[in-house]
Amino acid sequence: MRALLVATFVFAACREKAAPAPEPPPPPELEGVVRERLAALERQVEPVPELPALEALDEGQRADAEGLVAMLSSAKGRMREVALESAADMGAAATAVWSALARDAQRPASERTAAAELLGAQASAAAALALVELAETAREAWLRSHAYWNLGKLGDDRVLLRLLSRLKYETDPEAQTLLAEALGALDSYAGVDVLLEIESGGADEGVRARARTALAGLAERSGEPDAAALRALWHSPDAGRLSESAPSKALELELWRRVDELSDEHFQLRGVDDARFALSHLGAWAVPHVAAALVERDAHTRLHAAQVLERTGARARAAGPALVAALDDPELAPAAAEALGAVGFEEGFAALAQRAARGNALELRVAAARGLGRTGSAVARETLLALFADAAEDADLRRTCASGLVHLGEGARVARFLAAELTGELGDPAGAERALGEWLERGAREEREGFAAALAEWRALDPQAPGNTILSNEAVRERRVARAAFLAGELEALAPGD
Amino acid sequence: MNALKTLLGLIVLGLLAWLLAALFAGPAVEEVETREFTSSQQCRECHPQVFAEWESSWHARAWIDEDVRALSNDFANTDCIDCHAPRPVFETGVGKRVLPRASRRGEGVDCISCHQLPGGGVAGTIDKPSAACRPAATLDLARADFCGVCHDQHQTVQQWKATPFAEAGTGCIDCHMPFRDGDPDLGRDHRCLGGHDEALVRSAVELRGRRAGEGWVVEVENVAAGHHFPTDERSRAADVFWRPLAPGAQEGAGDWRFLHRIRDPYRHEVDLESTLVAFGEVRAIPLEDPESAEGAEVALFYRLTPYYTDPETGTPVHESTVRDPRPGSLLVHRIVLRP
Repeated sequence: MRALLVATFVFAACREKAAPAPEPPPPPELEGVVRERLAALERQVEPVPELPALEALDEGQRADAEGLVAMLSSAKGRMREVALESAADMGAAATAVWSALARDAQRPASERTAAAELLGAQASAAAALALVELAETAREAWLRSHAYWNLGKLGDDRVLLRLLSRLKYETDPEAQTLLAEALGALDSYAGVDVLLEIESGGADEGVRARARTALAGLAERSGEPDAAALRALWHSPDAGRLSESAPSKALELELWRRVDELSDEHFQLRGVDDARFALSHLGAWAVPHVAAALVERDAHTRLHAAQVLERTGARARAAGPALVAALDDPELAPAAAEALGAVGFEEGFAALAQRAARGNALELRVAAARGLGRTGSAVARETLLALFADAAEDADLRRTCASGLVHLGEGARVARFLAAELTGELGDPAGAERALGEWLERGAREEREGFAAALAEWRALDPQAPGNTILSNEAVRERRVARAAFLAGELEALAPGD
Repeated sequence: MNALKTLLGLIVLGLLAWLLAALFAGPAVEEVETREFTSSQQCRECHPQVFAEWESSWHARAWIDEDVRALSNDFANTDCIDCHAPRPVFETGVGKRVLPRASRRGEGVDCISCHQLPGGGVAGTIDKPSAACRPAATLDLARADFCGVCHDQHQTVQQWKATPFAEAGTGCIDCHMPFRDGDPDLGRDHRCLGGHDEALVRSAVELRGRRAGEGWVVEVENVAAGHHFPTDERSRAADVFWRPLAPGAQEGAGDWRFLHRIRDPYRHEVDLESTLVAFGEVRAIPLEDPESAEGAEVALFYRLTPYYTDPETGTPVHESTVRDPRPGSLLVHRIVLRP
């Protein structure tokens, strides 16, 4: 009897010990980072006074400012110089007049241009803000171009984030060129990509030549041998080498104001989109600031800060340790996992592989797999291959692994799975089609046997809606059926034995 | 002594019973409580009709639709993910900005996006803790602000708030998720019909014309959309075209001529103004072309993508140069104006 009792208690004790799961690590401590930083910077940066209302100006003030516009728009040589030199001595009243005049569509173009030029010559913070507002609101591309040019000349970095936002909206190639140059003058090389696009595909030779000149100027300024080298450095973890001067406190304040716009107090995604875009186009100097927001109390801010780092890419590699720590924040972990992959922080890949394993929430596992798929690491390859090989795994996780494996050069291992997804009723046929296209392109680029011809046929099966037209969903379904049928006959040769 | 033995025996029996229960019962109850819904496919088993409706809806196509893929550059424009594959609304908060999710993106705006509650269970119209998904009656599901987490990003809910519908308590779901066959007992239609539904688009506006001097005034009135016409997407447009009518003819002849565009421009289109028609507004458009003096055929076309292309070259063209707006457009209304 005693033995039975003892055995019962021993069993019960052992069972108790086996039951509890390991405690997850405590999430990082959250703080009111944004409020704190904003308060500190607002103490250090003198606010720019608002421009006086035009109605509040007396006749003399208006006449002086307008007189200078008239003089500059008609003068040549030394007289122009005198007019521009005079601008520096004029106060906020003149800034208000020139700002209004430049935006007034009823005034002649020569006067509007002159007003913008006077704002540039005035070299005050208020003039810089007036010019950037002109760049944001002017309907005429030539006027926006003047605003960009003058902003570059003025060199006040407090407008940098607003100029970076213009990269998203500016559509005129000549204005884009001047915008990229203005950014360069502020130590930002975010405009290099658009310049390279214009140079290779611009509408006419004049525009392409102008972009080429701008690229040469930016390369020279950066100390890089050419535009391609500059672009590579800008998108690399070494981009910090490009910065020539420390950002002003006014720019830091602008940065934190943008971070503040990521919070859940801002409902409209438009503002959030703009903030994410501008912040992710800043130089390497901004990365520690954005990374600091990963422990902000507001969950929206934390998540979007991780997205900003993800979109910044390799330039944000220094944020790697902060992102690894963020993997322990349940709300932030999926976004941090994707960002870790995008910034390419190698020391964090093992942590990513751990999060992709069973026992974690599906949301985190998929994000970790996607993050791994963006790296070129052996850890990623092994992890994704193992997860993909397990047919009992979640279908969405396997899909994510398949796309990642294509990127990691293992397309042959997943091509059949992706081909089946093309015509499947569930899942993501569009994603599968994109991944298969990437696999064929890569094979053709690497001159692997049969890939060039297969890629040509794959492309020929696309009815290719020209221009801005979009194929109907029916046409797309037919295309995918045709492509799946084509691949069925080719996979034996392109992906043998798998 | 006997009493003590009996007591000990009872204790041993009790412990044995506990041991057997511990060995064979397992943690089944706990598993049900912590069940994680990893796909909306899981909802199909118990809710086949709702699932079928959702599956045929544009919410289900939010991630995979070709228009979305093209306009978002295959989601390389990651800003679009927030609303096209959102995390559960109840997780981020009704009235709060929606956040993007990492998994199940192919399911778009799905059952989980709208119904999953934080900590398990789903928002529904009844309380039923014994059901696998543990529904809890949740009034927030019917609020305009619930749909607004995505649809107010383009001010649709704000537009609705300025209409008499808001005051009368007629919300989004009354038009876009009506009761099946009008019967509340049958539940709501989860197809969430909207701008892709021809009948709904036609019912939203009226097109008419009247004589004005030697010419005409064409009128477009937003008679039933509880928000602007069109709304929500800058990719939507409604265009009025006309063509001359020969005496006695039933329809116009020759090329169509552009008269008016109703659209909210994209952010980068700084040279355009929003021309959306608010609820109750009558947009009066003069048609003064001398060729219309004998009569005119006027039509209102609705487009899911705003840009026209040259049929020969495929290059984008301005709407004012379009001679045949019909390809890619829905003919909403057509009228014939005769002197």
